[in-house]
Amino acid sequence: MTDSPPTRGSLILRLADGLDARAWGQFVDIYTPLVFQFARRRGLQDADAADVAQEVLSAVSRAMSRGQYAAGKGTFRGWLLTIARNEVHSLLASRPRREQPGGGTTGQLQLDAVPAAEEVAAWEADHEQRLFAWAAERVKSEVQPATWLAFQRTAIDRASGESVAAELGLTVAAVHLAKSRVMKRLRELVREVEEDG
Amino acid sequence: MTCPSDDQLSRLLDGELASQSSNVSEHLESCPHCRIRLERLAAGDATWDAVSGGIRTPQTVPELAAAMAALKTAATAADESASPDLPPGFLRPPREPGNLGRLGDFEIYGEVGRGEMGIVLKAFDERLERVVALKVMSPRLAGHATSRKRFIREGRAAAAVCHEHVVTIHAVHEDALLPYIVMQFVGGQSLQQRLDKSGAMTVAEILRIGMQSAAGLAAAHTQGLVHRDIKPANILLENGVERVKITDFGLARAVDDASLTKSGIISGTPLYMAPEQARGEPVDHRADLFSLGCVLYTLATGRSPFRAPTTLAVLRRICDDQPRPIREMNPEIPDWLATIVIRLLAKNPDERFSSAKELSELLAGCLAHVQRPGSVPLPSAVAGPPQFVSKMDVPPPLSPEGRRRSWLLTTPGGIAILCLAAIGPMMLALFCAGGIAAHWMDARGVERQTAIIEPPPVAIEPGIPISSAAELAELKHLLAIAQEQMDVARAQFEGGVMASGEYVRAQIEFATAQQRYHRATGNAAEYLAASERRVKLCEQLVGVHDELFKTGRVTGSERLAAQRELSEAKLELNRAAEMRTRNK
Repeated sequence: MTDSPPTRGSLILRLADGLDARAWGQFVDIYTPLVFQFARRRGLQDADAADVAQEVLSAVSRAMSRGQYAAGKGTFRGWLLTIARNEVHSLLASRPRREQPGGGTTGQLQLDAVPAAEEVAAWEADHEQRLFAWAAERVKSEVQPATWLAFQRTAIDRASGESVAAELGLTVAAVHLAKSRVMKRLRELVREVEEDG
Repeated sequence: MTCPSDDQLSRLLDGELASQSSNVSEHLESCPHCRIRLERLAAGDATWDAVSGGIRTPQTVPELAAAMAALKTAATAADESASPDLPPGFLRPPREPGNLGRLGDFEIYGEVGRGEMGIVLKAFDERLERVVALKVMSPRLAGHATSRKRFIREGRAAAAVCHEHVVTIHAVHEDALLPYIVMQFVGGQSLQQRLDKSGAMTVAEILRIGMQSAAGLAAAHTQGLVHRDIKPANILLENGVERVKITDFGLARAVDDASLTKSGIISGTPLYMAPEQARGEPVDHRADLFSLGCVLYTLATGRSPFRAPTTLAVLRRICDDQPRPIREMNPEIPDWLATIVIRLLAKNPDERFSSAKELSELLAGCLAHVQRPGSVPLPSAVAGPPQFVSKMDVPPPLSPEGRRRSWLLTTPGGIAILCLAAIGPMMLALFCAGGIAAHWMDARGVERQTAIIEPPPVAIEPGIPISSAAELAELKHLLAIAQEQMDVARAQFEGGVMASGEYVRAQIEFATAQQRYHRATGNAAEYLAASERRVKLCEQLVGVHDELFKTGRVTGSERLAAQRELSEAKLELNRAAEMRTRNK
């Protein structure tokens, strides 16, 4: 099995070059929900989390358009995590404590300079999940409904090939083929948009 | 059929196995082993357990969808640094047709500028019956509580400064949807616009603008206010006499807050930023002096001193590099002015002028001299022999026509030695060791005379013969050139414009020059150190050449030359070691 190397035209690089509306659209699609989820996990309400997400991506866009993203310094998603943390922190710091819902730990006002290892690991995992989730939305619209269903029932819902074959009126081979084809396509899409290195 | 090959399975996945697919599919129907193989081929290394959670139904949150829609419609390639439009409904309809709108008691004529911080509007104040400028905070920044508060606070602090060279602030309104500052309206252009149109300026203009800017800064510094963002765009030139008016005091911090400097994004390109500021250290009024120095450099040469392709590279240059000598880029600039600018550009704030007031007075004196050279002398602070020098003040690198300029050097004791480039038909030199005066002609055939006070050469370590003063001076000159060339090479190397081999070579040249100089002064310890460095660098170069030779980028003879150079360096190292042991 040969793994092809990441393409040169990775999404991040295209963004850093600027002026690519399609790349920007893709970027918004992938990363806004990721940052949104991150903000929600920190205790922010939907509206605030959406604001944070919007601000973070705007900041990235500004930095990119000014050529301020230096690809050498760490990974793109590491950089994004830093921005997201700071933005959440700014928002929390500007609110009086008593406004936060539910009391208790409303979000760490004490921001560590460097994210803890667990935080980074959680971010990385979320990031990977998000990439696949985004890819799934795309692939779903690309394939036949039966194909998608075969994939979903087996790969996600974990039903057996035989039972799904019976459900959908397909051969077992067809179900597995469908599942494998979708998996492969997902992997390709994710690879296309993953950053280099 | 027997289990198909990986290749066949692959092609089945890709839908390429038309004719044989029925056979392979049939096989799959009954062979679970191959079904698993098929999956492995498809899934690669993806850990499906981890990612499958994400693939389940995505959440649809209306606020999130709205945010994404907004992001997509926002301009990305367009000038993102400028503030976006005022929100609709922010201004009430205008009273006079043709005007933009109304805000409070102000009738807004129109927009006059747009920057990162906000939009500047020209307006008529109906209560006081005067034309004013309104600086409305950018909606992008106004959403951040910290930057909003800072905008208001800085605006109020700047209002305390009343000076003819500072844009007067009348009021700060914070109750509006977007805070805005009411200030003096200045008709004219910014220094940046002037530079863009006309390029470098005359000495008199540079002095005048520098003097007025320094005076404005002095007034603000007295109030305890530091500008933090002095640059040509923030220096306005009022119509007519082009009187300087500094604007945007302290507002840079409001932008920084919103741009999350902690994460490494800096608002704008920091071409004029002081090193202490670039390093995130606390700044005081002397950072403004550095920035003003950068502005003066730009006025003198048409280019900012620390240019580089990316923001990070600019910051690094600001912290580490000396800029190209002003005289090299514009020979019209007199020595004393170049010296003033160098001092402003000192990395260590203690070495700059201690106050903007001092600088302003000095520049005023210089301007008076330039305007009436016959009757008004240069201020004594700059007229005498220079008290300090940096390696900036050296002639250009060797060219085939020979060196073209002479220059002044001081030893740490503050004594001036005139060093001459003796090569080239245009230079005449009469140099007296321990002497009193030298007569010489510079490249333009202008006769010059300079007094020299020079101590007799003293051996640093007794018993070691040293060269004559002239030779010593020559070697020091060569050393300075080599250093300059190395610095240029480093900048080019780090900017990706120069190959590593070239840079190593420049370093070797420098180490060799050091060797020669220290040997001549009898400084055995330094001689040895320089020799060691040279050997290391030569080894590095040999390594580089070996690599390049493999890929055919360097010839065999070039490679041999590098090896020979290494051998010579090693020989000299031995000599240096001997000298050291002799002296111990």
